[in-house]
Amino acid sequence: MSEQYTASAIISFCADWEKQAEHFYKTLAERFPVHAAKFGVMAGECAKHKTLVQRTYQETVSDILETGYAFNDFNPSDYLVDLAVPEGMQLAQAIAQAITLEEKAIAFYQEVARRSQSLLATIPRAFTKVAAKRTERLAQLRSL
Amino acid sequence: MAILEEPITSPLRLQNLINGEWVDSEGRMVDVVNPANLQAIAQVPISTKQEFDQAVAFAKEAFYDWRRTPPLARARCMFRLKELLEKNFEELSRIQSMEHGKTIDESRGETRRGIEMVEVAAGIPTLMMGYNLEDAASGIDEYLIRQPLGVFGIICPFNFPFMVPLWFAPFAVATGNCVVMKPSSEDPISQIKVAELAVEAGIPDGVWSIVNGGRDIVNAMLDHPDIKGVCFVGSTPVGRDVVYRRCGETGKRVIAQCGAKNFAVLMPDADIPKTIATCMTSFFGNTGQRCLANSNLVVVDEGLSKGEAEAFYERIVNEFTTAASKIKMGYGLDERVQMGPLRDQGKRARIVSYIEKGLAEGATLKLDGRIFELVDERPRDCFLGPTVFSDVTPQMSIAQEEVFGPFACILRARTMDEAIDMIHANPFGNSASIFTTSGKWAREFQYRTECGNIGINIGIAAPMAFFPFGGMKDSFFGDLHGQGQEIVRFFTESKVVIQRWF
Repeated sequence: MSEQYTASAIISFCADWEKQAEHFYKTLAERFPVHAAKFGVMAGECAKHKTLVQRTYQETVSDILETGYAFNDFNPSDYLVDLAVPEGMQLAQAIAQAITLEEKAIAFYQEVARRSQSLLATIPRAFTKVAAKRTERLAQLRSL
Repeated sequence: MAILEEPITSPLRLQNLINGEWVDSEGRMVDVVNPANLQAIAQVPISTKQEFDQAVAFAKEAFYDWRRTPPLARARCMFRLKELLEKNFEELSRIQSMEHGKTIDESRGETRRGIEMVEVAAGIPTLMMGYNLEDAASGIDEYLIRQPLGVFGIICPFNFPFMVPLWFAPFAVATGNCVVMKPSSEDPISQIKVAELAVEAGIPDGVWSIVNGGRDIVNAMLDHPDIKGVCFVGSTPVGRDVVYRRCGETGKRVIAQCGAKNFAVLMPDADIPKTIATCMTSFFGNTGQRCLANSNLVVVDEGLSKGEAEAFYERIVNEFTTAASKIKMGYGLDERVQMGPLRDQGKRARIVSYIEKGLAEGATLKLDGRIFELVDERPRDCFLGPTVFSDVTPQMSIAQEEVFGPFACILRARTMDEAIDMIHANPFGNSASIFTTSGKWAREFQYRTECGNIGINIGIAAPMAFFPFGGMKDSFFGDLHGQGQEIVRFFTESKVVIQRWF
């Protein structure tokens, strides 16, 4: 269902999502030692994305007010991915899940960047930066 | 989506800050009510004149040492205060949503803008510098120094309970003055919290004082011989007829930032989707309780044929009304909400009376704010939806008077000249915006329009902390404005030294 989201709701969603993704990659790092380093780095990047988005919001929120209703007719939960890592999950399954996560995340960040074009340039730039970073990660995951 | 956790869980009993100590008032207590649920979240004292006099006496005493404190040391207090404000950013923001009703996005924006004042005031060693000229005459050097004056009074409005007091207090204190502040008795809590942090930041006793109260405190402030100047933000009748006049009579400096009726001029070449999006927050943000809110949208059809002009006007009215009708209302701490309640029932009733006036004057009611939905079940007493009137003429009272609520009038003009004439015919001059892709039109508008703040494709023309907050005509009374270099001049006396050594 499409809804109207405030900037605050979008940022809360991003923060929560990155936190879950960080936990997901940390779990993969523990479960699959062969790619522990790579998954560990990805977990760290999720934390960085969360900080970047939250800081950008906090430092530019007064400008968000200029066009605070940028996220109308949009539902971020459409981009959610199941991040459970059940016992016995195979590496191939885990990588496939991570690829889905990254694809959805790229689509999400690109969409919120597009929708926030009318805000201060810093805001779409932060979202675009995260989308670009995740595009690199997607390529890395596909090469595993 | 859940409602964000409330930082106030049981009613607070607020006190005054006098000489660095939190003290009870002898005055009666009144409730501070959260307009979104009508629950009392605090009790604030209506302090006595004697308590105010006591605060001023201590402030005057504190001034002696404080003005001798080097600007760099005073700046360090500002740095510490900034850090504490950042640390308490979220709590301060949520308090504003509780005490005022604004949405959490709006509260965080207000917190950020308030902190920016402290950041700029932290640059006081540079901002306060005078200037000099060697050999102003042969063998004679001349220089100007800026000195603080003493104790200043600050009278705060209800609409931005956190930010507006910070337009003044950090600059007053950083320049070496002392302040006695009266927060709005309607929503004083965030300012009490700021004062707690000011104490924690090491600002000495008596330099930053709070005396809660009402009209008696304002009168005491305006008459007190040791108050060197007053900063006021509020309505034009009070600002002009009481504050400005009385400060003139008693020889005080004064900044009185007052009411507004701001125009947004929409040219036919404007980027319509972006303009409409911007207009939503400009007209309805902070539930319209903002002195920089636009409230008259003038649709200009310059260069269009008659048929095109009709179609253009209809398009704007329809898109504006549709966008306004989608605004979600409820408690500001609910992240779904885009517009909160009005501060109280009285303010709501006043705006309803303007809806009735608009109908009586013959304007077309496109969106009736009296009919609205909330995102959840709660008392509706302070809520009012966005109201949109079209076919408004400049002579109607709804186009002339400050409504101070979520209330939009859509007018028409054949040319930009006609739109500017409408702006000039209005007694206020706080801000005006133009939406266009033409540099020529934008420059012409900026050049000619008699308003203190001009927005070009900006809906809320709010100057940043390092620029003065403009204001003209019935929107401002005084000489120097708040913020930026002007506020530094307001809080300091220029002294010129002419020096020769024999």
